[in-house]
Amino acid sequence: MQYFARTIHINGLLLAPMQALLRDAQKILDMELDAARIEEAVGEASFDLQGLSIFGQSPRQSEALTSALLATSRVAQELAGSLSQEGSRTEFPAPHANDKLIPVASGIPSSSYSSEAPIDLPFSDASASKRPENRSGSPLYTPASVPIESKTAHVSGELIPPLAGTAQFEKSPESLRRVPTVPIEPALSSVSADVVPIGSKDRFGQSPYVSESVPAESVSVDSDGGAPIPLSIKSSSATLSYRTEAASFRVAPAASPSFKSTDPASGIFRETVAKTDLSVDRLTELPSVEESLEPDSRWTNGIPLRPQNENAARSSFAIADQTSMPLRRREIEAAAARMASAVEPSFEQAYRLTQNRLEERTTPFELESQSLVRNTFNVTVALGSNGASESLDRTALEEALTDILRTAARRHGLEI
Amino acid sequence: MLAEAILIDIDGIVYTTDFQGFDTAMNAKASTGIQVKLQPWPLHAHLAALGECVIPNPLGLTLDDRAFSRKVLDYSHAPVHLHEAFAPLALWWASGGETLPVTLGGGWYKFGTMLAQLRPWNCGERFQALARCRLTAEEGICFNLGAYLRALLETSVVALEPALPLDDLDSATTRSLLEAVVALNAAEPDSTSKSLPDTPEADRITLRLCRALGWTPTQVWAMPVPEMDRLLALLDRIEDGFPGTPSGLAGLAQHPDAVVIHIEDD
Repeated sequence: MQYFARTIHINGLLLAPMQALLRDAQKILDMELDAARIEEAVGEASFDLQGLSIFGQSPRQSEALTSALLATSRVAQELAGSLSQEGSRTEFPAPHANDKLIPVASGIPSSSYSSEAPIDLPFSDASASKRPENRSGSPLYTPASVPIESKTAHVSGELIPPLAGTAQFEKSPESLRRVPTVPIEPALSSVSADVVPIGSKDRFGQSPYVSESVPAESVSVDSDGGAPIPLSIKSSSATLSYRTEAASFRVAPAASPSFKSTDPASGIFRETVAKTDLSVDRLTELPSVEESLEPDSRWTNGIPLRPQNENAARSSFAIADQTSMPLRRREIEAAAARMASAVEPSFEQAYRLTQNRLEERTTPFELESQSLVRNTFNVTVALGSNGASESLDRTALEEALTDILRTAARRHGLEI
Repeated sequence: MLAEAILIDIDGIVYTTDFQGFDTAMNAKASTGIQVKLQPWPLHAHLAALGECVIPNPLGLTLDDRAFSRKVLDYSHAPVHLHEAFAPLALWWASGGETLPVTLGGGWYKFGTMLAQLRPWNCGERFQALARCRLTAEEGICFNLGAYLRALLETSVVALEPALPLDDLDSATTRSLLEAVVALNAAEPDSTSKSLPDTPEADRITLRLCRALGWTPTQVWAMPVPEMDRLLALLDRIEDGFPGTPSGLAGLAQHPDAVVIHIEDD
């Protein structure tokens, strides 16, 4: 047996009750969605950050990513500063397209990051204990977590000392609590030989970029399972890179996905004792941080509404297509009727005067006169200043009023 | 392979499942071999997820289906790394399939194996719900749609058979119940206008009798025609003094050929 379904249809089914109730509430409240506030809220989420323009589908996601970038930048600066204080020479090379990167999704929740590095990340999920243990099929998933401070790597037969930057971790873990889910991975020689993008779609080992050369003892990184956030990076010049001889920290939203490119700089990596990249890469396929996994909480308190425009508000069940012509016709008729009522006393007076003149002049020759009584009515119509009056067709109103007056006068025996 | 393989194809993504209904936990396996067990998705979780995952845009509402599917999978304690792979299935699981409510009469409906008695909420109940759900903040008015939907459900559902807590209904029953309750209480504008006679005399007479008797339009329309004629004649006699001419007019208005335009203030 097989069922078939389409997500677009399912979405419609799920959304239908809310849409119906929104219509219902809008109808009764005479309100409509406050598009300005909605757009304003969305607009707040788009921003520029040091040349980076990030446009996420979800404002919340963009904000989360911004936080991730900022925090990553901070920790990179701190680490670089720390290393500098320890006597390392710090330089800030210009970003290079062929720079070796280990693209690590900054949005990876710390809880799914199996390193035991002492990073208590702010977006970490309390449910870390229920994180998947089954990571089979991916060379990136290692059963054992490796604390960063214990990391060593062998290059050319030498024992690479622990990452200098770990001292910073141990000294001030508090400063790292602000860091959202940025795993730090020592750039082991085998890693530097091949770039290993770790994105949401790569975690099952299906990525062509997955390098078999990733050492088993490397810090394992898991994706959160969230779909990618479409983000556009306008400029690769936003790359922030902090490199020392002892370590290299990088916040690199690289515009170019040339992960497989070989790079002469890799030799530097090999010669350098321990390099660490803090990389934010492949942002176009970046899983969101844990906070962004939550739905947009901007509207959890309610849907923004505003009063409908005045025209529509005149009808308690106003619907756009029902308020155009029918409403104008009704307005015209109502205005004409009011005017006719207003001139009624004048008609009464005219009738009375006419009758008096007819009673006084009873001779036949006088009756032949075509204008025994001449009545002149000066009709002035004042329209209210409300929106409905402004929308009236004045010519149509004038014609309607004239017709009513002529008809009424004729019915009262007056000649026009 | 699962014991009784039922294939669920969503947008071409096929899951192998042991689906036995939305009220029973379902094991599902993706084509990659990863598996997940989905627990029945209850009404209370559904309403909460809707409240959080329905996002307004200038043109209406949209569903953040990724967030919604994560809610469903989180409820089943599915590992996070499986969320993406099983997101379509989670949405289908929460939607409750294609179960449609069957009207049994007397306010009773059949939703799969469940029976439910529904009633329309009255104006006072709706006004109360509107008042509760409309929030005025600094930036303007907000409306809590999720709370409004819950208020409607709690008011409209009179009885369930078997007697289960409303919050525990599975997704199929929830879907049918929501459809029936919304159709009963928040009909489409088109259907509302179609249910009204679209002639000036019907509008005038209906409103006149509603005003005079304190009736609803439905009561007026259910009245036998001879009875309505007698009522109108009585109203003419009492309200107008004599038929055809509004009271208080003299002179020209009494002329047999007069056209009397009577304007009432709103």
